[in-house]
Amino acid sequence: MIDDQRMSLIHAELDGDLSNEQRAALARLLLADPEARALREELRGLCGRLDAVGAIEPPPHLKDSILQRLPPVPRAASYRKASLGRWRLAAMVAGLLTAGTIIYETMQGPAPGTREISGTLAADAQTALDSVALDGGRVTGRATLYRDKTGLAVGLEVSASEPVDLIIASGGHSFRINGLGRSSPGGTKPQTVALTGVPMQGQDIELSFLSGERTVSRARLHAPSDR
Amino acid sequence: MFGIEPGPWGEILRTGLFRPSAQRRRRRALRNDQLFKGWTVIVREEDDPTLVQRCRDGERDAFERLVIRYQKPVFNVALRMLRNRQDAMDVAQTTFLKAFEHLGDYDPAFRFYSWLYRIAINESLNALALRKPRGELDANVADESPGPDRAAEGSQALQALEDALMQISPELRAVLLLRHVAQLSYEDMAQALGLPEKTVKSRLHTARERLRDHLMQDGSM
Repeated sequence: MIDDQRMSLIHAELDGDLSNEQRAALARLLLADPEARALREELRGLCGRLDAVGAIEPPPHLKDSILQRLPPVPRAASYRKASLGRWRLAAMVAGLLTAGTIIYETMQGPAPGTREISGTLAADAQTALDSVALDGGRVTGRATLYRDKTGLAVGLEVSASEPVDLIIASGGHSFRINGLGRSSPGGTKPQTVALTGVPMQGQDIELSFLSGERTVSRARLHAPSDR
Repeated sequence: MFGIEPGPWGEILRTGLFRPSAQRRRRRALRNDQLFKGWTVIVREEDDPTLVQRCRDGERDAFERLVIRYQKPVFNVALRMLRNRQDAMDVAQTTFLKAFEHLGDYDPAFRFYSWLYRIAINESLNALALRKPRGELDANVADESPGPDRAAEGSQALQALEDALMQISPELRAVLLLRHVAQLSYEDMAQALGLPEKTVKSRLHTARERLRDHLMQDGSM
């Protein structure tokens, strides 16, 4: 009967996994023990037979049947790990903006009936400055530029066949909003984005809607000069 | 709800301008074909990490390259695990579909093929578990639907070896197949099986000995 340790030496030799010291130990074992020699030969023969098992060609339609059944690339899922950091950063920035707005509001005194809208705050007393219909195929709805006591804000009522990202750019500032147009049980919710730090200087505000980093729709809002 | 990031322009420039689209790459490949007509063109195959990254970028043709590269070994491992051509084909299909769907969960620190084999082995074990209630068919299923290739390959020795393989536990069979059919290293096997290397070695040794015992019992050794 060969013990486990000696058996391991025989297997390790078969796998090319022996150190010099183990090789010497195996040589001594094989010299001294005919049973070990016989077992080694049997296992060598067995491994030879296993290695000789030929590969069979898969059915010719296997590849096509796989490719036909592939779902559309689940982009969000594919980027789950990479986007974690991005979401963390986005949440941090959104938190800072919210905190900043709250501090500003507190310093300015109680504002008349403010309401919270999805991570940013916008005052109720709003004046519509410009409005544009979105009918760019994959993105529909309306974008409206407002002014309130805290500055400019963009109101969005967006429907999209799949969630889109929006870049709002004006006067060297840009904001990115991810996942617009997600369907919710109550239908599309209007959302308002406070354009913190964007002054009114008679400039244009560019809206670019992205799907998979490709621009699928554009719109432009005009902010009149603050006189 | 909102994710606001300052300065997205760098990202847009990288993806929009400097990275050629799949369509542009295909067009360029076509032009190259015409340009090098009559020449021997050495094409460097893209490695797995590059193809995986391209898949994650939404390029389905990169996944097609991975399917072409690995359909044969995955099918063969599943075939030897299940000993049934149709089941092996189903497992191979499911393996690639699951790999595609869960590409976002794949950790590039591991080898792609180890991950693929891991899915294939798990799917094969699931298929075997489902097969059990229909009766202990494992050893006989292959004879019911041998497929055209089996007749050509089937020597008596191979038949005996396959019979013996089906008599050891599926877990031990998986170790033997990854080592001797897929030719994986201990490290790759450990990744594929989610086990420490030491356990893999010990399981491989046990599997060989069990297989030898069965072959000796059958008089095939």
